[in-house]
Amino acid sequence: MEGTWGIAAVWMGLALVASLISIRFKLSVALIEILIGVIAGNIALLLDHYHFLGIHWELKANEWIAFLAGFGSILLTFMAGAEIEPAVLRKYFKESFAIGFASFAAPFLGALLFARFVSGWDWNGAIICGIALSTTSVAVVYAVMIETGLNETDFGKLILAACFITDLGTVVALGACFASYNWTLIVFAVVVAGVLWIAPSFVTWFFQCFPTHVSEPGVKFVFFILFMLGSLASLAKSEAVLPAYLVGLGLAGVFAHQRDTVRRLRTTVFVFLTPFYFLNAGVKVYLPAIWTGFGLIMILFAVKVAAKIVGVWPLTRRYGFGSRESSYTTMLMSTGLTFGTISALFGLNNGYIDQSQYSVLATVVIGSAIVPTIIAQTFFRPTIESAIAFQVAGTVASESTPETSIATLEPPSLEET
Amino acid sequence: MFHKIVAAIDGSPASERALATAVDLAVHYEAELTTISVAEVPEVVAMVDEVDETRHTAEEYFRKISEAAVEFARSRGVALRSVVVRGQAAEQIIHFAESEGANLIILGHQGHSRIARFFLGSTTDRVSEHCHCSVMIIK
Repeated sequence: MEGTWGIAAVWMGLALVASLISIRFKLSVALIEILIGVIAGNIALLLDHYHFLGIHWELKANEWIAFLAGFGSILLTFMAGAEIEPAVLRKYFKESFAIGFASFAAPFLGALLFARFVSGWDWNGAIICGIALSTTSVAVVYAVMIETGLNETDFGKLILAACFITDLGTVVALGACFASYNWTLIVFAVVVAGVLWIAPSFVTWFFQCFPTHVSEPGVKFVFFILFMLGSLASLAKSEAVLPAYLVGLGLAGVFAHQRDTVRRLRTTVFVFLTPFYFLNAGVKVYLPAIWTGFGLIMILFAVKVAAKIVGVWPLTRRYGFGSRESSYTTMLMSTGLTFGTISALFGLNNGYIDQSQYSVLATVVIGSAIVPTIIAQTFFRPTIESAIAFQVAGTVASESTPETSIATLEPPSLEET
Repeated sequence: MFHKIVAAIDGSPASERALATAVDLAVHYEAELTTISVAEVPEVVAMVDEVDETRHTAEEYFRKISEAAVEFARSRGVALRSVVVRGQAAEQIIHFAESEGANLIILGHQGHSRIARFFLGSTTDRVSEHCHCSVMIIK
């Protein structure tokens, strides 16, 4: 496809189709965008191969699409970090850190070693494989918790906090494993540390001085911080999602009180940025590579889940989870989508993996968003009563009781009519 | 014959017909009538915000549906209790009906395409298959 507006129309048309399908079938728009990207990208390759109608069909991301997709991944990461509840993390820091770190480290090492010594990938490719499969999808876990009401129990909160720690491990690994260890990294680290120290109070002050306005100075200020830190990350050969996630974590408390700003930011991200990110992630998947690498996809998926079992299950048992709750937690922490695709795309864009390896990793990541969720919900879903009764070994159980119904309208008095 | 009726409503034309039938039966049998609406959130998502956005939109939508249902029943002299819950539709409807001790569930036929039915299954099929009590499906 040629011409800026023509390319824009095709990509936005695909995003529109994805939205309509997701609404019709009540499925995740991001997942549909990836799948639409896979289908459209491969059909375009086929048409291009046969010079159909003499048009150049390839849907390869040009410079501005790559920018929008990259910006989308940065904001996705920032918003993921900003979702954490600092109080919950503080309350369960020891348990969530231990479970979250094990959930990152075990599959990272397991997948890395498997890719390097069994599949014969080079070291950089193996590291990308380890990082991409180390992730946990906070969004999937959150969705399941919301549906079951477990998000209001201590059990659910602990799992969610652990998921944030796992993702922190993933972005730190992505930012640290390929960085240039020279003065640029020192400058980057010092600036990030300074921003994290100053940002919460400064951004609070900024929002007080410049409250809601149609020009959204608060949103622009956040974008400015993310772009600045992203440029420093690039200079240090690190990854822009690392500072984005850290700044998100740092500003989580501030943004909890800026719901209007978050809502407008969310609209911008959903409409204009994430479609480009997820479509781009799908377009780069080469279907024949999935066919030829099907066995490897299955094995890598098994390696990820097995490593999560080895890392997470014993720890959850140690912290007082029942057998069913431990299995449920392990399966939920085996999920992955956004951070997995971000890691794989980072590897592809920087030449650490080729398109076939990317296609294999992206497929494993997408599969890990679906299969462990189904297993957890079908076989290990704990009852709400057992979740309420749950208490971390050595602590006092919370007395909060989740509400199963969102709203109840009692019948009005009929005498009034 | 029917002393506790639960009608599942989602705002579709079929569910409006189901509500009208439920109100008529409640009048006829002097039964207690409750409606349930289930706000479904996709489990496989990429963004926490996607969950929140979908949830808020669904909850707001079903709140309005419920208010309209209460008003409709009231206009026909029936006291209606309306409940909105989260989760998987069939599972929640069955669970709610059992916990309420209902002996009749009324649903509207959704009219999915064969493809959608194959992949997603049908709420009416699942409810009628797994529920303990009588199930009436309105076309």
